[in-house]
Amino acid sequence: MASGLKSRILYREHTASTTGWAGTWNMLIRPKTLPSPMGERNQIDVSTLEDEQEVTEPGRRASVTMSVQGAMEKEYLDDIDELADKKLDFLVLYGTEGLGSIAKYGFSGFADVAPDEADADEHLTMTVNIAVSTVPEKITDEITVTTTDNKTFTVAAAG
Amino acid sequence: MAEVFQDYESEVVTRLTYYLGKEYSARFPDLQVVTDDLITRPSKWPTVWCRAIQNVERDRDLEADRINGVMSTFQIEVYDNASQENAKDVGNSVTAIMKSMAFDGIQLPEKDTVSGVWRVIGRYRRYIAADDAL
Repeated sequence: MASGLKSRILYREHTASTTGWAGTWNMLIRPKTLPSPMGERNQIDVSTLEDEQEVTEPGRRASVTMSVQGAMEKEYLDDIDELADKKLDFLVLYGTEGLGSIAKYGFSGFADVAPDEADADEHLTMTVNIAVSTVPEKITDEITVTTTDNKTFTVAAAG
Repeated sequence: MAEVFQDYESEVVTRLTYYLGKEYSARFPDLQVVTDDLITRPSKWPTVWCRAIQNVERDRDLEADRINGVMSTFQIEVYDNASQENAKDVGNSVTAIMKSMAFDGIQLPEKDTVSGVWRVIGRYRRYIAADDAL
């Protein structure tokens, strides 16, 4: 078990490469919280007139928009602004060493950023909205993630 | 990065000394601003005692490797040996100077500490983010 500390979201411009998730990634934002990349699973009603109560079977998860809030910093704000309307790949890393030892999820989508409300007793924040376009894949054991500066990350296929 | 032990106190004391000196040089030529341990009977009057009493970290992010901001609190007391009015006048000027740095003030009830010494007490707090200036 681990706390949410050092949970991270990384991005790169989308590539249909043959190397899969391998490559160079950057941290999208320093998040204050990191919402789930997956929506709730619905239930399909399969009741018949003979049933005394509703009977369901598992359906599929809803797609979501992740709203990731973090400190408003010019460096990150400018970078994300330039990514608007570009298809991106995302990696979400869970684990307190910051490299996804607990779980790693990968998906594609789009991101845009907007400033949040300014408050006298809090630091300025911004929220990145990530439209999740593909089913997040759990790739915890398929890749390894390394970094030297905690901003740029190298992802390689697990050996 | 903001620092919990950053020396905001010296910046505040510098401003208090400059602006109070400018305002009261004729009326209170002996006015002094001190940060020493609290004394009940200062050597000069009026005396403004200023102390940063705490900086509390706020707005941590998931990286948690730096301080994004602190809630900084100062206690400032004004002592005078002539009248409560003198202490109040200087205290109001202190509040105006602290407001110029965007601090919020809480003025505690004035108290006659020892015979012949009047004082007013104020606490001032402000959130200071990593890239903020006072």
